[in-house]
Amino acid sequence: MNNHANKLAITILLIVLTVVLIPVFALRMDPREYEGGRSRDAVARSRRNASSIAVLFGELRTSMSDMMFIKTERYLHSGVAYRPHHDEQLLSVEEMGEEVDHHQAEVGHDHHAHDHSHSHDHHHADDHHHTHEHHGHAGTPTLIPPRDEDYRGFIGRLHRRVKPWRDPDKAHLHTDGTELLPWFRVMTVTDPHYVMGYTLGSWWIARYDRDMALNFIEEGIRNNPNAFQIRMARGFILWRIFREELTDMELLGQVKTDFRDAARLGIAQRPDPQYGPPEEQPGWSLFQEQDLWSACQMRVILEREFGDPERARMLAAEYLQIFPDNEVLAGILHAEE
Amino acid sequence: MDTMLPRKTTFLLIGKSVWLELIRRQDLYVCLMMLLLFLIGVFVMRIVGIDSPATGTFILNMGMMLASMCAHLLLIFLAARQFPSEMENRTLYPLLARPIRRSDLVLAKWLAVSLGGILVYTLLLTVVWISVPKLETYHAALLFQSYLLHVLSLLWLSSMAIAFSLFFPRGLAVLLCGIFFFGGGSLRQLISRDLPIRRLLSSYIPDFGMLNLTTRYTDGIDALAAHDLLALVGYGVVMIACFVFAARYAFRGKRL
Repeated sequence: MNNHANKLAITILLIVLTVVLIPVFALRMDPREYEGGRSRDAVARSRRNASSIAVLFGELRTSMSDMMFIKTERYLHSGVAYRPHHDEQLLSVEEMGEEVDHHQAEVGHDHHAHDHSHSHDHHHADDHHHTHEHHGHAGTPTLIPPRDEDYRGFIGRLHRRVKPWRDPDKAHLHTDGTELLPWFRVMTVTDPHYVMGYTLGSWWIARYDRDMALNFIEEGIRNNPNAFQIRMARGFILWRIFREELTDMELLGQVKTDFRDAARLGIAQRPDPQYGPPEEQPGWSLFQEQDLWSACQMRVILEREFGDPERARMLAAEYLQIFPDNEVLAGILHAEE
Repeated sequence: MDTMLPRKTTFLLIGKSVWLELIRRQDLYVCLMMLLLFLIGVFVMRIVGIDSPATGTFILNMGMMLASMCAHLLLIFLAARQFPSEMENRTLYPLLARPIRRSDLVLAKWLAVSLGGILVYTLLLTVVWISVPKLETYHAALLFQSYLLHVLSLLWLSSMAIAFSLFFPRGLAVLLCGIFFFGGGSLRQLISRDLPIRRLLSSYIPDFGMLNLTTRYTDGIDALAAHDLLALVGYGVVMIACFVFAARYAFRGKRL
């Protein structure tokens, strides 16, 4: 009896200990959370995805999130699989927004969402299967080769018939981006540190539902507190909202905070230029450099237009030491003088 | 007087039968064929030429992931069929007719299966690591840490598969192990959003990604600090203890 009671006590003690210890250890640290890393470097990622092994496997990419990124590209190209031409991965945050607008204008959607109900109407009424030819990317090879380059004969013909395929010499057939929105959700759940998923995804989501886009980007900031590009993306989205009315000063304050934080974080992460051009150093790309340039510029412009012009001049002088070729900053500095 | 067989004898007996099962089943050979395909791919890449160090790192990451995935999958199938198959084929009864404690039987099966998985992982990892050219810098200490945590991960997964196979039908046990192995991290991520209490509760979801340092290693990140490594070892050990305890409890109370 006594033995049984002892065993029971030990069992209960072990269960309690386990219940307490699991969160202690699990929440202590996550080895997947670290700054930098080759797999997250946009330039290295793009290089790998264009390498012979990626071309050899066609669908293969360096991570699940990359594979899902490919899915989003397929959706935009009416399901046709083109060889890797992932310019989107190498766009600056500002360019991403322009690219999304450009794409939607092509397919006949050149407006932004204003509220949730609007986005629903928009979504159901006319979005789904609008397509439009885009001549800019014509000539990009398809994964399934055209007839004159395909040695497989009948099999190749069958392949082209059963899979979405389009002659690579013809203009790309672009479709509306509504259907790719869930992929951004899935790719960031799979890899919460996939910064591009948050930045590009937020631009797309913002077209349909701004609140949802801001929640999405908030999550991105929580998961990647040091990713200055996500803060920039939020700054740009809020800036667009502010520009419509130019009255919500609280919103403007948030925009200024986002660009201030983005500039501060970016400057802290930028490699030391004394070892060569920062964009040529590991872990820093030309697009990060461009983003940082834009963040600094936006911060100064916002300060000049909606804040203290003297402070804007000081900031311009400070940022000109980092980007001496920035004519906008130089212009602001001299104009104020 | 204790008439039970000595633990060492029990473990050797069970270990031998698990080993025979491992080499007689096709699962191991599927893993070896996957490895062979990978090696052919690496061989072709070496002839064609690896166009950038980043691609070399990608191949190394892919190989190490393949080794990890093969060993874990092999282990799920091997562990989940230990008790259900023996009960179906009635081969468990002659074993239980011997003077063996039920809890020892569970422990012996778990250790033997885990050892099989660890051996397969070690073999695959060694072959992958030797065959792929290292074109960028990696931290040797992190490789050791990664191996250590993988061993814990394999011990944990086999205990989970055995425990699940004693509570649920074999197919469901395999499915649950697969879900937690491949999707535990994403599940945690989904649940832990927004509220601290959800973050706390999500820590109870088995997340094998916590013990996988492969990408960290190929990303060229520094080795873990000793206290972080200890925390991860602690996480693995507690999870293993949970499932081993659950398996022993389930088998002791099982009506055969």
